[in-house]
Amino acid sequence: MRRQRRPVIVALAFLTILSGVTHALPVRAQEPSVEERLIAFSGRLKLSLSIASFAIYAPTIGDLHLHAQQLVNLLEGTRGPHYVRLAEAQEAERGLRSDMGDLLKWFGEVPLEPEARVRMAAATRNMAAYLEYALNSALFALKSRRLEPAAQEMLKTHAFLAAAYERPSGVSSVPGLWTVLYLFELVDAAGEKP
Amino acid sequence: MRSRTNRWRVNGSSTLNDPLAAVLPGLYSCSVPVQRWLRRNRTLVILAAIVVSLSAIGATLFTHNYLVLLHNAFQNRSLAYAHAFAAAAQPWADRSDVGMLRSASQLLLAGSAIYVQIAREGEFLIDERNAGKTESELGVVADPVSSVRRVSRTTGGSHLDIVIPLPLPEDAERASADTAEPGYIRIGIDCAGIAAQANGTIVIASGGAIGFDLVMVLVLFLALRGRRRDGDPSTFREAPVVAAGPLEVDLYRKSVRLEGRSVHLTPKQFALVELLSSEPGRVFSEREILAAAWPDSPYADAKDVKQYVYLVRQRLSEIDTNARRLIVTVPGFGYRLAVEDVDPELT
Repeated sequence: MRRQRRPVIVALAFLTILSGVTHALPVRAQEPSVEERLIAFSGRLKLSLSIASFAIYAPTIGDLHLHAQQLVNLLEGTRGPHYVRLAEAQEAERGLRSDMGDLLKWFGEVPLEPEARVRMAAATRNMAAYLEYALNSALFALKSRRLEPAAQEMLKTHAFLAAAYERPSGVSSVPGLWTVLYLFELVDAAGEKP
Repeated sequence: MRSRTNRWRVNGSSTLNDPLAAVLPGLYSCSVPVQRWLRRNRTLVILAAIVVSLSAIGATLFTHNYLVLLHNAFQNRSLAYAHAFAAAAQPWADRSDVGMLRSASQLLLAGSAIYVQIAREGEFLIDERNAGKTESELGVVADPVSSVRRVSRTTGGSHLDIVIPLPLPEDAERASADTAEPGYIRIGIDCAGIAAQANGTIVIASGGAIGFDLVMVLVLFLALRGRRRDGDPSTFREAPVVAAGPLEVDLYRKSVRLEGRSVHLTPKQFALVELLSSEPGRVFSEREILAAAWPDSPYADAKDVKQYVYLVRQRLSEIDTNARRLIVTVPGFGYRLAVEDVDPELT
């Protein structure tokens, strides 16, 4: 009789341990959707545009360098080669340029029309190029000791960031983030009108 | 020979026609060696004074104009900076996104901004301050208008107080355009950065002016010395030759001539004649003669003066026996060069 009950006891014990282990494991955080990531990316790109505009009109060269460094940190993230920790600033580990590499991977997670996928790939390439130009200009501004030349470099930085954002204005424009948001029908959610 | 004579020197009152004395009356109240040096280098001193004055005026004008431009540029940039922040902050303010407004204001507070306030409907959305820099109470502005003013702090330094009204949100415009209170942003920009730059400019301008002065004085000195060495006849207008009657004292060549004939004098004897001829007729005390001829010797006394006066008289009498009377003893006072023997046209 005892021998007949043994497999049942073992099975119950196994189930108990299994349920304990399962409960002990942390609940895996829900991954943000592609749409959420794109809206967050858009918000950070908008913030970088604001920082670039602060740098353009910075009253002193010290302020300009501060904003240029804030922008470099935002573009590169804390692991970037030009990252400098600024006092009391909370910066994301991943920069905008790091996220650029993942955009195509994000797009692969969602079903898209082939034509839309091609347009998104083009927009991503353009954005990557513009963000690199923006970073280079910001680094040039950081090296400049004089306010006017540094402000000129930050003007370029702003222009490249604006081009990466691609605000359509009725004239011909190169696809950028706005095209991606439009294809994902997120232009309203990102605070832009279609 | 008269053209080589220094009129300023041979006058009874030596400084009467001297432009240096007219400009700086106290200049000749200094010690005898300094007086002598000033007289010898009169041209240099006058030109150096002109150069120094001009460079000081130039440096002052440059500094003043540069500082005015610097402060205007700083004010304009600060206003544009505040407008850039207002443009960025307006969508967040419309959505009352306090977290985003606070983050954005922290970006500014890390630099020259000392406070950032954003108000809507008579209440602060954010009121961020840079600890230790803002001293005054900054309440809600009742009727905000676009303004920039410079505020001096009691703790030292100053800042620009910039207020920029924000337009009403679109929905508020539609709903209650008449009743809604307009919002505004208010930013304080510390002037410490520009003050440091201004101080740096003043130091650079002053240093530049001083450096320019030194170079110019050196150039003038070398140029004048070169002209003297080259024997340019025009330099003899300023050449230190003193004519006192039949006596001619060439300070440049350290020679004395009596009636056109050279009188051989030792350096001390020459110093004695030089002093007496510097102001013919004036009585020089033994003390003054000692200071001029034996400036570094504490042991020289009245006996030495007496002896050297005797020796000079002897030297002069070798040329002309009457010439010993050129140096007159004034009992109880000292010695003088006989004025009555000096060319009346020159006195």
